[in-house]
Amino acid sequence: MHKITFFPLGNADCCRIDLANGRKLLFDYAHTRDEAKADDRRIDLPDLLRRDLDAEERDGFDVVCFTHLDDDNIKRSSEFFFLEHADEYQSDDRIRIAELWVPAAAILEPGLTGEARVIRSEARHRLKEGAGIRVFSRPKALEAWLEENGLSVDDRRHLITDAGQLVPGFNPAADGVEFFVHSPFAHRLESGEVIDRNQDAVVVHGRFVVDGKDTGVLFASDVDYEALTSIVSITRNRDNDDRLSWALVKIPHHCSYTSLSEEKGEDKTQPTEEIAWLYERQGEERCTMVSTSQPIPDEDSDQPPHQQAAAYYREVADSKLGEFRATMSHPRESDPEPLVVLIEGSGPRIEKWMATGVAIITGGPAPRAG
Amino acid sequence: MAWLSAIGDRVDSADLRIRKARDLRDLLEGRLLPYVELIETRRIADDQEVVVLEIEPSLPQRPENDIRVRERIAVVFDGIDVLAPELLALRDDFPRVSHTNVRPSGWPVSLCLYEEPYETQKLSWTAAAFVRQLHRWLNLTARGHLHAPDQPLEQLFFLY
Repeated sequence: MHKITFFPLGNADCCRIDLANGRKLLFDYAHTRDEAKADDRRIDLPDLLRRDLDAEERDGFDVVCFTHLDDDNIKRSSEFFFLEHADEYQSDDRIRIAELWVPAAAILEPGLTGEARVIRSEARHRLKEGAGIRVFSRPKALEAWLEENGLSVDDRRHLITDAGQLVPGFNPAADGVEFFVHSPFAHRLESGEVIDRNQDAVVVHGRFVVDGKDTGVLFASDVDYEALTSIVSITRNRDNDDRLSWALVKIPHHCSYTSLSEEKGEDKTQPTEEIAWLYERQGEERCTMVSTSQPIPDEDSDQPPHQQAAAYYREVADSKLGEFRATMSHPRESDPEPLVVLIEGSGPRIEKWMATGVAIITGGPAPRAG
Repeated sequence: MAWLSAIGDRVDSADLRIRKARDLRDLLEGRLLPYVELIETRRIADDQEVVVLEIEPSLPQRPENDIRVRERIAVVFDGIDVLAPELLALRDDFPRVSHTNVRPSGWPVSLCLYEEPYETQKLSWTAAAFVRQLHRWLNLTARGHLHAPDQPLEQLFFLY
């Protein structure tokens, strides 16, 4: 059994993958909770992650992937992780990263400040050192930067994975999973487009295998409708439809309508034809859809989550007897908890514990049904 | 899929008289447990009261039995507390699975939560434990794991 945990962080991301063989991956890290606010319902992310690592007597993660360098994906990460590029981030209590995954934009984007600059420095350091990093990009997109740093593409090709490839280091036989890269598309960087973090974010499809049964999981980061539409078009043109088949999806960009269409819509966002295919045709029966976001509002809003987008996702989930969940309202708005999805031979299953908040006297094991 | 109507006349939840029905109402209105919600309350004649709730089990994508994301259940309480509270699944196509009570044709499926007799259950009955057992029943039925390996096959009951 594998376990995928989505943490309630407001409109922000952190997803931990616990593989059955003990390997641990973290997709994004945003410590958004404001300790000064007693009523902040966002989870204390570093505390939870540390407690989990301590329980397993580990000092870090096998992989940490920053899908892109927006604040809601990296917030306060420089306080938490052991970073190899500077002494100030190297105290013993910091959490280690065996392999850092970043999009090419995290190497190439100019003019960064703050947290994003720190992560860029770490990624550049590891790429120069040639260890502990994987960059998602077409190798040629990094050519100029590598040459400026006295390296060639051939020197670092083994650390670069392009869209359309499987990520080295994970395979179904040993790990019970493989990751197929959908984004970023290197042609955007090669053609000189200005870096757009959301469009150039890492999007992967995980094929998890348990008891010989596959479960497809789409980690869609914060890509907008144009990037998602391109992902679908390119994938279909290359007859890789199964790489977009999913039973669990991390809905992109905190349930923003901009990940479905250019138009928000009055009551419901109507997605592009390609995105409709992705959700309506490629989503399996009894699927699970997770919005890493604030609770879905009852009225129109400027910021995500947008009720119109949620109306579409809910319609898809309902039509498939599936579930749509927003992290900040799971299991309820008053007391959000990490949303844990178990990947078993019978597919994904949201873990739901009922024993919280009230004393239940059992006097022994659970009673047997009559 | 449609919900069957629970029997009895709707009453305000504040007007419930049967202690265990009130306990369950208080639990649900107080939102003390996640994944469960009060829908309505009813009374049958003067001696039975009904609490209708919706509950969200933990479901695998490929279940062994057709349990759904939200199930609506009517809990019927006996005024003199001689009979165990009865749980009726109100989804019209709720599956006929094991660990259900035999009822006349056309009745909603009646879930059998406990193996032990009601006289024994009563000693430690709480609304919270009851709802938790219902949740467990649905979770395990969905996965085909409810029947314990060492548990005897179910007996047949006939109502006269």
